[in-house]
Amino acid sequence: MRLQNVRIISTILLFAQLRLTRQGPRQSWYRTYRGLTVINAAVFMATFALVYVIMTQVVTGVDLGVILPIAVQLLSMIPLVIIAIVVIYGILFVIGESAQYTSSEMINYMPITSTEYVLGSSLSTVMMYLFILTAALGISLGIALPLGYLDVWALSAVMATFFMIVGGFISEIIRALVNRVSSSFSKRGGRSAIISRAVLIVLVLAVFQLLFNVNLLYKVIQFLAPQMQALWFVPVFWPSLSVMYSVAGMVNMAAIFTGLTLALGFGLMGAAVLLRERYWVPLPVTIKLGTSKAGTYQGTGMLSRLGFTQGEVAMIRKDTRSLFRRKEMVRFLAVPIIIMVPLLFTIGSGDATGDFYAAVMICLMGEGMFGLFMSIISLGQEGPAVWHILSSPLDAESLFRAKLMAPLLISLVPAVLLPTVISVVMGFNALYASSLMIVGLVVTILAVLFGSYISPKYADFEEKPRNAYVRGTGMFIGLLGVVLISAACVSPIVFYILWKSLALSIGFSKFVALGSTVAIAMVAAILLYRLAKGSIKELYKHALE
Amino acid sequence: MPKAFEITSLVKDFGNVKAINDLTLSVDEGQVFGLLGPNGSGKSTLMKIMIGLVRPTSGSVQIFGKDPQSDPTGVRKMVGYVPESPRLYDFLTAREYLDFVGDLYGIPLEQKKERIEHFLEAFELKGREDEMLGGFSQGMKQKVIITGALIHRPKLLIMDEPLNGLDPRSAKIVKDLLHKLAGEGVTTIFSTHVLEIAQAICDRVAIMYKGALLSEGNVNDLKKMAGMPGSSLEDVFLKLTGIDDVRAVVEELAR
Repeated sequence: MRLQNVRIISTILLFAQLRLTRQGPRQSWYRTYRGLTVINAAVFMATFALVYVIMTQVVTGVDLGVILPIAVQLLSMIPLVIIAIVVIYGILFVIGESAQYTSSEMINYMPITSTEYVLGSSLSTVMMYLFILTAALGISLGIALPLGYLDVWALSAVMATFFMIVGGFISEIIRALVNRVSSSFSKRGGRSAIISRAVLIVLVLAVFQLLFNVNLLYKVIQFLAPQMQALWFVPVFWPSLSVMYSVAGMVNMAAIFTGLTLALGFGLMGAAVLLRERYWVPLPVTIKLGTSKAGTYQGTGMLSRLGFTQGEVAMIRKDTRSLFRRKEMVRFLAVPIIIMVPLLFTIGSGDATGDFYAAVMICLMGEGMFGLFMSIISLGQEGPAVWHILSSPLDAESLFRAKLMAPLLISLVPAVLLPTVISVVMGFNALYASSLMIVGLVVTILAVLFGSYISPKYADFEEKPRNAYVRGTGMFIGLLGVVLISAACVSPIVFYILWKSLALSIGFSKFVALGSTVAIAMVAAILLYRLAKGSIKELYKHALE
Repeated sequence: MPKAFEITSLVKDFGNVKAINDLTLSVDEGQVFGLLGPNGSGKSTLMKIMIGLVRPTSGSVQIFGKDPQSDPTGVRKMVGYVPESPRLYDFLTAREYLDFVGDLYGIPLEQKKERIEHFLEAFELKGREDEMLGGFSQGMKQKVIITGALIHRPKLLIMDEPLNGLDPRSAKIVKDLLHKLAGEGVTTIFSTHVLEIAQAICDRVAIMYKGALLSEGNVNDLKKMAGMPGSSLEDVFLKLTGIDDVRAVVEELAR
């Protein structure tokens, strides 16, 4: 193994992450090693100073006996938190990566060994997210120093740094598995495997979201910390145990768990190297669809009976396939779901009105976000293949109809299912159930229309460094707009139920409240429909410049 | 002879760069017209203007009497286009992709099926048609792209480097197909860097350089114009574009 190669690979991969922007390569002071060092040092100093001042100036009156056990827990948990965050970033990076470019990295055919690549790539991941570690170490030093735990902090810092590199190895393992094993699975499994992969990624992300939900994490740490010694056989706790035994003055046990931590790290590195050697193939894997659908040609089907042309139906069908078949698209399915998952835990308080509001919030956030995501990416997802549309006989009107209908059809499924399931499970009465259904449908339709308006204006057809499909400004405007429009539309229903629950007299019936919501939504929908259509026509006009 | 397309005083500026510089050109229906020129000479830009993908700065373009700017849909229905380095939808299978393209052009189901099967057979893609395009080689993708440009039976083919990546058999099929289609009245304009191909299959050839038309006619006309009747098209091309002195560069590279 040549260390020179490791250094070169880590530098190239780090700069690839730092400098490749959607506007092309960018060079600035903070996109260099020196810039990163300055940033990380600043983060460390700032967090340390802040926490130190709080510890010495603000909490002086608090009984140290209360703080000490919390400080020990915190110091011992830092390696665990660091590795989890790095792994999460690793997963997000993998699912956002364009398969087109992961499979054609120049580095794949350079004369380097797997060990050199794995080490270099892991180091680049560490460097990229080093600010997380420096922030954690700054905070923990701010706590440890006034308490006289400097030696424990030092051990915790070493463990956390080592575990961050180990997190890089785990990311490499995930990359190798996702890029190769998943593709091989798809090759054998065909269509059903593609759906399975999408579902699996959504599940993984939902589980990680739950794991890193602030409230839940706090409860888990509270639960685990006192019992950590009983969990000595779980490798991820070894660095924490090492710190805890060190605090307790049990040097031998601390040394054993330090040794085990090192062995774990090297073992994972070996696994990452092995997986890269065995499974990382720098060529795209051929996926064959082997179900009964293969070999058939599509007619225009039901949509043509609804007035859609052959070209529009083809576009709708293509966009639906894109959503489920492209690895990088799955995150748009996943994010609304993982946003909703923690909210689901807020239902079931026993108070019907409280549960109704929680359900409204889930529908507003989950369905609104889902409808917005499906529509806001509709143009940008074409990427460089957009030439197909621009050189085809599909005019702006047809493209608008197709690009509106595809996300609407997809979004209406959860818009109907979610309120139905919640209403049945919670046993909502007719008012709550119908209100929830109307809220779901209204929010979905308006979100899709607003997303269709934003999509052509802020479409991002670039694939490097990663597919975004819509520029950041567009996504921000989209989210803000959907919140405001949805709030305006559902306010009559929400206020009516709030007034009723407070036993206040109200001058209109529930039917007026529901009717008002529908009326406001219809006006908003008509306006947004016109805006969205104009937006696509503008895209056609500017595409020719 | 009716004209397939007529281009008059065409100019396209990208900022300070003149991609097309006062270009006038017309091609009769049923001709195979070759467009030659070094990299950056404006060939691809000209083709994009013809299909209505780029708006010209000034001048006019008429495709079978229609202006691609004012009636892009009308023009595109008559045209088959193969872009340079095209991106496909990698998540579709070859058959799904061609099915999609056929639907965009409104081909009835039975005709669509028959034509796609025919091309899959001819290009030896049978047995691979239900594989996703992401796993195809460049040559296989190029075959799929060419099929996509042909299945709606266009009157005009605009092909930017269409033979890139094709194996000799497929390249021969495309060349013969262009000849056969020309016999049926289909006009083709295509760009290439392979001068032997232009010499072999083009009725007429134009050489572009820095956005302007240097010379245009059949291969023999070009040789006469350059004062090199006994030379190859390559020598004529290098002389006309002023890049014939490559010996010093080669010497330097070989050191």
